[in-house]
Amino acid sequence: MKFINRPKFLGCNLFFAILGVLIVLFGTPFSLERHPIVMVLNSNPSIEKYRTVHNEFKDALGFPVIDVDISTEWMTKTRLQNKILDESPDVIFCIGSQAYLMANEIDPEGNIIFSMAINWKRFDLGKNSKGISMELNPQLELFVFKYLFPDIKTIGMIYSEKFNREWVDLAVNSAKSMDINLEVVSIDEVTQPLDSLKRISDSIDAFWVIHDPLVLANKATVVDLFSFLNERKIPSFVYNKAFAGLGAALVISPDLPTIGRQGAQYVESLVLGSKATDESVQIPAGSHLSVNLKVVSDFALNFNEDGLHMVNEIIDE
Amino acid sequence: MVKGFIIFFIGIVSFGALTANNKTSFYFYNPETNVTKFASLKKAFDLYLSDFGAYEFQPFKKVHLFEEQVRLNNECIVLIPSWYYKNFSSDLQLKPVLIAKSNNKIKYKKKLVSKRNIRYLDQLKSTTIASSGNKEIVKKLLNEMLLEEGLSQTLKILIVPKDIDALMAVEFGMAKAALTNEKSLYKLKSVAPKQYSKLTTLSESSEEFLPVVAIPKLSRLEKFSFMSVIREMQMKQQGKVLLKRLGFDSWESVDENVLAELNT
Repeated sequence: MKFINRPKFLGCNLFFAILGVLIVLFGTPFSLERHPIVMVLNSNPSIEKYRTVHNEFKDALGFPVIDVDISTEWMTKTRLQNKILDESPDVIFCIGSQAYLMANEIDPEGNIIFSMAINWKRFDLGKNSKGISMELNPQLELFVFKYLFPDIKTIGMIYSEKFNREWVDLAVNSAKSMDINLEVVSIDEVTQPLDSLKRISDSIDAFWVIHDPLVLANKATVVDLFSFLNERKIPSFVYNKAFAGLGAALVISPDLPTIGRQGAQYVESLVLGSKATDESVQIPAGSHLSVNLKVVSDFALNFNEDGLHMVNEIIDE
Repeated sequence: MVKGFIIFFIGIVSFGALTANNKTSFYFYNPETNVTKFASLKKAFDLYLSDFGAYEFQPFKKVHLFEEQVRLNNECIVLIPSWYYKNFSSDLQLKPVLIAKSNNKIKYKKKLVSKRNIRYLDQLKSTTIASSGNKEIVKKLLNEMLLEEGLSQTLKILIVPKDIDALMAVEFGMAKAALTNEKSLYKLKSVAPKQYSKLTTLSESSEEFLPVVAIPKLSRLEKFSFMSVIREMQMKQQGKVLLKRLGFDSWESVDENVLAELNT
């Protein structure tokens, strides 16, 4: 029996010997299958929009990730630091500002991708940080305004130089290329936004509300602005659905699932060394449109019904 | 007394369930639709249909739920993409009755466009292509459109909600090319001619039918009024608006030629 088994034993040894040589020469066969280690830091998974980005990111990536909820009291900075040290992720995908700020503080040299962060320009970005901003390109927004509301020729906007100068310059140039007149007024800490709006109200067909901490300084200011616009039947185009209840005609915001998918592509490009984009901070590639048809009707706006199929949500029919 | 109340209560619940199930349904499945919140679309459709009888609109996001429901209920009308009818619906035994029309056409074409600096298709190798719709369908389409060996397998697909998002993704560098409906390109040309002039068409798909309205082969609905209600939507103002929300203007009957093409 022993004799009969002997050649098999030898064959086995030979097999492992050859495998050993191959591994030395070409690396382990498992390394070809090894997924990169991706950690997802979520600022608060109980917030639906964060959850949407998180889920879409994971679906698009298609392999397991390490999920970390930093909103719990248990997840202190020290514990997160230890977790990052233990897991040594190839990439950290952050959802929300808090997640990015913590990750960047712990691992400023790491491959970190931020998402869902308002005003990312205030961040002290790490060397290898990349991200997806929350600001849509004004050109896309202007296209939507002009296509859905063809009669609107002049759009008013109030902004502060401090927060939005670059973006507004881009918007003005884009508007020119589409034959839209953008009437912009800059304000500072002492100017009342409502006074500026009153100054331009006679010459504008619509008002574009952008994210600007000086313009939307507090609830009372916001309510005053929308009351004035509604009284004058000036339609407003806004960036957040929270303003829909105040009478906005159109909400145009980044599409959250697309942000998750963009994040997954970024991870893929970082890990595989391919180039997903020319920019280190991408703008959101998808937009979400909500139209308030009641406002459209009450304000007697000329609305292009051919554009209805572009609309993701009709509000307040 | 208590027993009597329980029997009464069960009776009421059963009656409610029976009457709820008595509504004839118009099922909608289209992963390419831009509508993300079906609640308002359902509300608007139900309101429109309620003027004509006990009808309801039921949109589906998940294909398996849609198919399950069609198998359970023969007396329904479905609105589905033509590619779904051709490739995936054979076991549902559906019969196309109407076909959607947009700009007087029942077919559409997809175009692969990029900035003018892309002159050869192989420059797209390993780059990102932005497109709306279903990722698997986009991959299949690109495979058919790009005959260069192995090129389509190297592409990364970024699914975005709308064609205009895909076109803008090219403009702003998030994608090297966009797969878009021909109609969306015309839209860009009319609203933003300067942006349009920066683009070039690299490849075109063959023509595909717009969505179809179909009924299960065993259904008797064709002879009854619900199909007339759907057929006549294009003649009513509110009906037209609802069709626009789905991305087309009207329907036309599926004739023998269209049927033959749909069934090949």
